[in-house]
Amino acid sequence: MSDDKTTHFGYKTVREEEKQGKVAEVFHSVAAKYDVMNDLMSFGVHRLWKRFTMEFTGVRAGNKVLDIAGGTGDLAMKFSKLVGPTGKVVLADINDSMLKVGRDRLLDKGYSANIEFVQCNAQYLPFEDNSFDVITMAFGLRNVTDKDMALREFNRVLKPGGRLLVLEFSKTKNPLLSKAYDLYSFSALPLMGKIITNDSESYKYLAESIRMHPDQETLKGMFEEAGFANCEYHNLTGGIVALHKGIKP
Amino acid sequence: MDHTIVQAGLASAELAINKALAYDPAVREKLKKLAPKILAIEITQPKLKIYVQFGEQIALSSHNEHSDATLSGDLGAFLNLASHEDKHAALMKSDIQIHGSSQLAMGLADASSQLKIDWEAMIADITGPVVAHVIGNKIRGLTGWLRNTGQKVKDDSLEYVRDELQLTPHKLEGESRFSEIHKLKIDTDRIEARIMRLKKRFD
Repeated sequence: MSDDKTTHFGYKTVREEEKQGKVAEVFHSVAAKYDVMNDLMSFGVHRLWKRFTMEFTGVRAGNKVLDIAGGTGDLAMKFSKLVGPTGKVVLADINDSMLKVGRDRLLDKGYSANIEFVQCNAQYLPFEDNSFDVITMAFGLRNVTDKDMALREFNRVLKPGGRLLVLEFSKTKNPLLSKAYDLYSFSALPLMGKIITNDSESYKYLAESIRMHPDQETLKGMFEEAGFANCEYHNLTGGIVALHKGIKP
Repeated sequence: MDHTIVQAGLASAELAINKALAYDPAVREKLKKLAPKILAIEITQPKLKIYVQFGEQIALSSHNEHSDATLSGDLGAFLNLASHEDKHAALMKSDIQIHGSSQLAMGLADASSQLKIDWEAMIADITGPVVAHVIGNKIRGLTGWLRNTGQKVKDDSLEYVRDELQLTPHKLEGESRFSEIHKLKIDTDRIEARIMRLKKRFD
């Protein structure tokens, strides 16, 4: 009898050590057209969700910010302007393909002086304790194998008073919106993935992983368990997405 | 209201404001001097709070941890303020309340009163200067005609209501009546004072 720990990969149950590799395959496959697909899939609304997230960061000149699972660098670019020459932004992602796309994009746009690029796993952050003022993670937490461990790591590397912001797909309570959303994500998304990136499986995983992700209240509880205080969340687009916030006491 | 809708509105307004300011460098410079201050605009009915952050560009947001000044009032008061040319004077007279730095609120009111967007330069960026000048002339002609016609319609309708329908008095007639009422008020006050004096004497 095997004592291997298991986790979810979409609707499939896989061994924990397998999930990281499978998620990596998904993002290697979509990295080149990640931004185009985001705009197409969300009709550009992901920019408004990220804009809302920026309002809650409270980032000021001189701050040190970690954008984990930062992918193609949407948020890192904005942080780079806000922290200025005296601050520092770390764009981190576990996936080297995504990180390369983000790094090339930011360097091409002239962002380099205050940005560092780090390939790392959110569960094992290679940073000192109490070293960041703000940590953001946009659409990354659901791909992490051990979410509780990642949240504890975020708490460890944040300075006291520092804040964690997690923007992630969540659960809508509107039954009509829920039906339309299911139809869209299980029919249209894989089809769009097939046409644009020639990969419908990755977008099937996207839809499934969203359904397996903890809902707003559960994630808020996980924040509290990890040691965060003043935890709150804000629903966006009827709860399809939620922004969770926690402060390290 | 869903945050996504608010964000869509703020993003569009921010883009439009910054685009407009690009064609009025004088006002843009004035607003830049207000940096890094934050002004909150609190609309009480319907409930909505918007933060305006001054800097190289104007940034609008629905959430901020502090503001240097807050303007609060209902939507009607803000729309009324927006329609006045002299926003400084209109703000002083309006129902909008100012909390915090009134200098910041007045600075914004002054700058927005002086906003004169160079529409021709904006069109020239798309069409080139020759076509923009022709379009500019046409637009100036049209706006001039609309302004004159509007004023004429306003004057004519006032005259029609006053002279033809006789629903309102003439200005001079009104002033004379108000003057009589004022005189009557003063006389009444005088009689009241005299009665009080007599009453005191008898008491």
